[in-house]
Amino acid sequence: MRFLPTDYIIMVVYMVVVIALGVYVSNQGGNLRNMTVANRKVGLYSLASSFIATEWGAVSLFMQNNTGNPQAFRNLIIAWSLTFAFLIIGFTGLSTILPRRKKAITAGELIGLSYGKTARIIFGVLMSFVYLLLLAMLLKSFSAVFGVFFGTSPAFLMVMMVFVTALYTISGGMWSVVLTNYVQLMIFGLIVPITALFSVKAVGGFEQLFQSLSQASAKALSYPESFLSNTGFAAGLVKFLIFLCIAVCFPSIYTKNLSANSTKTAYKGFLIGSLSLLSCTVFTIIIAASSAVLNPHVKGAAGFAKTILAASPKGLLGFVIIAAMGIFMSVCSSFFLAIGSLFSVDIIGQLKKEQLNDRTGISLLRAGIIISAVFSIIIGYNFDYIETLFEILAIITVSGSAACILFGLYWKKADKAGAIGSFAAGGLFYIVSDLCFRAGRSVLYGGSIAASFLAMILLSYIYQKKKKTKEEPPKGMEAKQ
Amino acid sequence: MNFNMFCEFTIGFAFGSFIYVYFFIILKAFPEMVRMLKDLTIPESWK
Repeated sequence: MRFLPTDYIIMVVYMVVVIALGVYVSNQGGNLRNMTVANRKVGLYSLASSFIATEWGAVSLFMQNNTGNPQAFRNLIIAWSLTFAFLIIGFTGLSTILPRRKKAITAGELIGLSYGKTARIIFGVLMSFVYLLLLAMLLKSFSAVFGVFFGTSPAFLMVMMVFVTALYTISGGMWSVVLTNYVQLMIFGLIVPITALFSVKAVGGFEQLFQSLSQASAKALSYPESFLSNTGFAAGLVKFLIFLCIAVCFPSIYTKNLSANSTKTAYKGFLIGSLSLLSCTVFTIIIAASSAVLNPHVKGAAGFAKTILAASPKGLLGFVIIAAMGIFMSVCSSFFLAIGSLFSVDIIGQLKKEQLNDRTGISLLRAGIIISAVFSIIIGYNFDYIETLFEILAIITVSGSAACILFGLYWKKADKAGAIGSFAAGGLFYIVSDLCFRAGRSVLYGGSIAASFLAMILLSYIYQKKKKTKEEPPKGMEAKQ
Repeated sequence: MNFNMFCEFTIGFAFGSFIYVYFFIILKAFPEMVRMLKDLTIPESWK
């Protein structure tokens, strides 16, 4: 065991501080608005820190897949496309200024305002499952990381972290998410870049890293060769479209934007967060690339953790572990809050005939968080194909919701038939082209987005035309009357 | 720009921008957080 007694003290102190902060703001529940968007009182820098803290977890989850791959640096192209997609949405004010103008407090509400209850419930259900699978994947991945750190299966630690996070999110809602995210970012914002540098140092410096990578693979340090190859320009463009759609429709991004104390704060906070996406991704890619030299045979999260463990100096290990805990807990808390509000406001709230009062709303939000905590553990530890299921569900949800939100904001003719059709068309395209034609991923992703957008335009147009002909009786009839 | 230069530029930009954003945010958010914590209503039973 490489841990020093001080490492354990650091871990305990961290847990105590996070729980104490959560408990301190626990009396801030009060009403649903307070819980979900912190009464719209969050300042610019607190908002930006919360943004970056959550992004970090999500990015590290997906970029860990490149661990041990000599071509890991090719993902720097994806890092730029991710950043540009978010910056574009940030500059247009699409997820910051426009929802505020419509006076919505959640992404679901925005859909509900344009298309009514049914579309909102579909969005709520699909998005809840996407978040649940994301949580399960996160749990699985960080379980592998902590497994390498501690040398044994860390089931107890994982379950404890999930429930501590659920507890403080339940008690203080958005207030505790923002506060704890700040403390967590303070720690891992320093530790992750430092570990990235240490892992490069363990290889022998950047020069050596580049040299070793090019020796391991001829393609390691070159641009993707053909336009349509798996990492080529077309695939990059499709990924760029997906990132655009994610920035437009993910509820956890909306709740953060909408908790800002002014539109200007939300606008600037989103831009700062978007710019930092590049850094979060790059640090993860550096560790993944160093891993290709140090541990070429261990892929995924385990290889990632092995590289960090081997490269970090002894005194730093306690901090490395609380940084990993911080990343896990910060992204968990934001996702819990998103699922909770989807469950209470967008699903049950819409199924009920009368409007939700604050008490019931908060109880439902808390129930949603507990259910998601329990199910994420069950799914994360018992199912093997979560990634595939996530991929299918995420692309259907993201393409449908992005079409709904974008057309709802910019096109007056968009209506309910188009909204429901856009969810159905994306899914139908994905399933048919995957099962019948075994289409490549780029075709599946790009096609689903195109199908959703087309279905929205066509169905809205047809439905509007039908409505018009029903409303206006033929001229001859008028004359007879 | 060849791929090596692209990598070096991206890594340099990421580190540079992050150091700036990180310290800027952490320092500026601290008074905001303190203000936020002070503004919170403390329950009667705690006083």
